[in-house]
Amino acid sequence: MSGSTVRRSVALIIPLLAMAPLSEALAAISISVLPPILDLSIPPGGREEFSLTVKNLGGTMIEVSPSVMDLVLGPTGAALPVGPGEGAPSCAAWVSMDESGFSLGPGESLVRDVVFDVPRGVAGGRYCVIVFEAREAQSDVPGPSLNISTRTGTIILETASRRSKRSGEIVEIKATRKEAGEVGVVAMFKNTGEIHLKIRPSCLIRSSEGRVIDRLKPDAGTGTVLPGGIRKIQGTWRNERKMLPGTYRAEVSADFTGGRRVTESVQFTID
Amino acid sequence: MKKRDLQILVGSILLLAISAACSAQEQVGGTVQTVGVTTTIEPFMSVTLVTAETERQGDGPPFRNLGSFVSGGTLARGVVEFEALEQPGIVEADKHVQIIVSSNCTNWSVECSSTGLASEDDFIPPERLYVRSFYTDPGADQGAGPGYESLAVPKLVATGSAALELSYQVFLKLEVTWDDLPGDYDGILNFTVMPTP
Repeated sequence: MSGSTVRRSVALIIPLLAMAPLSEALAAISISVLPPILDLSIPPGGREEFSLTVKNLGGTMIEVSPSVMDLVLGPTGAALPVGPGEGAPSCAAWVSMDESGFSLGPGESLVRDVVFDVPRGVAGGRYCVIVFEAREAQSDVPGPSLNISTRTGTIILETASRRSKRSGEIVEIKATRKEAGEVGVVAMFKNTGEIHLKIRPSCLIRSSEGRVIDRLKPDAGTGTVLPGGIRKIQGTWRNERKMLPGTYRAEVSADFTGGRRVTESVQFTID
Repeated sequence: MKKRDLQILVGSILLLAISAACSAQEQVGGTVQTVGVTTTIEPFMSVTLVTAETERQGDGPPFRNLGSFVSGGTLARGVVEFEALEQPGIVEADKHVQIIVSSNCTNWSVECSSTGLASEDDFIPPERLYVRSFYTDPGADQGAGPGYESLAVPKLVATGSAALELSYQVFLKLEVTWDDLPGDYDGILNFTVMPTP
């Protein structure tokens, strides 16, 4: 796949494939779509062709409906396909593929070819998800019922130009006293730029005099935030020895691509 | 023996020792060569949905387990039924859904959503469907019992990281009101499984 970078992860695929038959014996619907993520850097005017493999890992016939949808990432990073105009800047219109439905028998797979054309004159990041919705074939039954279906697919992150504006801000920060004396710190980072960012959060606890008395390791999952999106940063301060009555300040920072950093703080009191 | 002579002697002994070691190595296996090894591990993600009878589950807490263990009941087809045979109220589904995800992605999530249930003459909106999972608030009660949250908006029902197989249970309830016309209602319950970029 020239001109593109497929995201690679750390664990081995072989043991996962070896486990598939265990699920197969039990499954009502069991499906995989590979690759799950495509991180592309195709310049304006460029074209990329790639193939997606859909496999029925279960023991029953399934019906699969493909579609191309916009993408939104929730504050915890959960990816969700949404309708046109509801998500981050979209590249759904740049995807050409056969969107007709198909059936897969147990163990069968299908390769669907995709052409991705980036128009001239575009900049910034564009995002979409190629969704494959799978249902058990002929699962309709008489009476009030809910048919179970699953949607999975391939997320496309396209960066048409790396020179695009990168910016962000912490739009909300809170420090809340929890049970057992802990203090929860929550901050919301908003991507105000044109391409997706990877944030690395940190948090300092300062005394009323401004002295750093403790450091937290807040969590922001993978840290990816799409343009216009918000990412939750959360941490918990628990340090009985240092949590003496008094006024403190929680200072949350988010470092992101390009060596930039934004910081916000909030004051809280321990009685 | 002078100091300089001693240094020459020690140096000679060391050279002889190194030479002997190299010679021995060559006799055993020839010269040592290095071979570069590269590999590409592509991301992988699979999802399995199973429906199982709920009667033996009762109101126990939904689990989140490593492994494809399927709890209680018999395996059924990919359909969940609500038997609203008595007067309107909260109706429990005849089955719960078990989600099994295998992935080498560092983060992923499963969101549950529905478009509601429709009959020929009437419609039950998704906000009257309720789910209970490891990720819903066990202390919250929105009218369908502790831990059940409305599907007015998609609900996160599973999240995880790289693992061979992670299993999650999702229990379902439906609110039937006096305004709902008698009839057969059908709908789709969707589980969207995506890696977190």
